[in-house]
Amino acid sequence: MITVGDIVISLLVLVGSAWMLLGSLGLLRFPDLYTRLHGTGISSTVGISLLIISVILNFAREAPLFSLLAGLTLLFILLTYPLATTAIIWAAHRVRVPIFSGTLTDEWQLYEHEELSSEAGIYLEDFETEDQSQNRYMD
Amino acid sequence: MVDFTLNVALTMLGLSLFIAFIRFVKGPSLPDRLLAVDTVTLTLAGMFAVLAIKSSFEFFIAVLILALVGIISSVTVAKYLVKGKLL
Repeated sequence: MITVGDIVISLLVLVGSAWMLLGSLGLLRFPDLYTRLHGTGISSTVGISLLIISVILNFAREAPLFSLLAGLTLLFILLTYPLATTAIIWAAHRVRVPIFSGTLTDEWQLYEHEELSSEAGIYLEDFETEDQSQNRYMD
Repeated sequence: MVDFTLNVALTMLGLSLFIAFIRFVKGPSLPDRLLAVDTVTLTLAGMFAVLAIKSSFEFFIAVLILALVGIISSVTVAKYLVKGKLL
């Protein structure tokens, strides 16, 4: 016998795993590290959320404490995984991982990470004159 | 019917694990491999979540452990890349 809960849970599991598959496919097919981040971002937020929400719904009636633990795990993942991907991309940009040639601008390059703490006025002037900034990241 | 759906979901997750592993093997730079490891960890966590629905809740502990290990390894290797000066 098929109940409504079964249908909802299987739908959530199917959509979540399809989302994970799309994230991995993006990780394989995108041309560049900075665009590949999109694939990881997809699977680390929406995909894992759908899968764990289906776990929560599955155990909600018979063992509510398990659902609580699953919800806390989901909260932990949602709070910390964006931090991890941000740390990765920050470090990668700082060690100058090459950028895909079709990228239009790289605004962060103008700020010259080593001198982030010095006054920002100089770099803001650079930012407004376009041909200077063009020379900087077209090499 | 739910069992069949869970099997289909496990197959898709295994396929995505394999695809992420391809990126881990051929990724040109170290952050690429790091992103691939991140995706592999999360996909394994998703597989264990599906297994928790399929058989019993004990499998869900693996999701917690994998989440902890994933975040710590990512931040550690990112910190190694910039020689400890992350922020």
